[in-house]
Amino acid sequence: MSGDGGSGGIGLDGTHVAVAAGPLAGPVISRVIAIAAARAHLPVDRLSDALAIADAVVEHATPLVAKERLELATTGAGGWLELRVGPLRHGSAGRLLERSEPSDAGGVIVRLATRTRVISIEAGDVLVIDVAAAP
Amino acid sequence: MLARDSRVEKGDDEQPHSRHDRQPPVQRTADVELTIPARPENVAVVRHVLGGVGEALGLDAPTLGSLRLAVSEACTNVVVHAYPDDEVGLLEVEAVVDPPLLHVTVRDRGRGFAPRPDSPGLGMGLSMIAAVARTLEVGSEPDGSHEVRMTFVVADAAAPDAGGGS
Repeated sequence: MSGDGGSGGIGLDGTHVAVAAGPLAGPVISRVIAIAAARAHLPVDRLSDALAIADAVVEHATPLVAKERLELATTGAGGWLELRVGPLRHGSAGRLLERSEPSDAGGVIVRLATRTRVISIEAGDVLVIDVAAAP
Repeated sequence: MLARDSRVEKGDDEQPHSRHDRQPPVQRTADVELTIPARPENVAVVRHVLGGVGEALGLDAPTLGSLRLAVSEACTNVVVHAYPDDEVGLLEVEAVVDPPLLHVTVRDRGRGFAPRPDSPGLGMGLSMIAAVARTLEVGSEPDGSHEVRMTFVVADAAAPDAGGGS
């Protein structure tokens, strides 16, 4: 993954997708993450977790986007997948993760991801979600 | 063989008619933008993602198949022709839903369609795209990028902000 300062903090070494908020977001984001997870050689159960994270991202991160479109960058290999979601409005990514009820997006993402972190860039927050083969 | 900066449009008889005037590009932010390294294995990624767009828009099976075929051919052209063998450039794909049309653009920032004497292909990609797409334009942009622009008819498609698609 290229450095955090490139292209609004989202690297282009892997795949980068931007999709308008609406009915296309789910099909596009889920497919991109599914392929990325498979290519990262995640086992089936972790691939399923990655898709659940994708659904949570689409449902809960889309309203928080800073630029009217949901942006996602993926890189991964050898049992490790990194997802970068954003830019989201400043402060919103952290609040999303703090909602830790099982039904909340934060609950889904925090419980299923190996690691999460928030990177602040000029355009907003980038939510970084790592999914490893072993949780 | 299409000339550069040319447009093919289907007439009422569905036979392609070659025109050399260019239609202005759709002036709106793309509904989907995908940027990915121009590697052979990534053609399938684009096909899968655009297939998802088509399914979400409720394309019928023949049009969905045409979309997947045309996008695959255009992306393969970029992978094979756009960049030198020792360089991995980027493949950019955009989709704009503009009912009743779906506009798809495949772009590279390399050398575009410069002929390769050692090309491994049969040279039929653009012909196939022209056969299945409603319109096809090929051209170079002022920023040096090269684009293949295709349109498909989307029956009963709704713009993304109208919450349509089946």
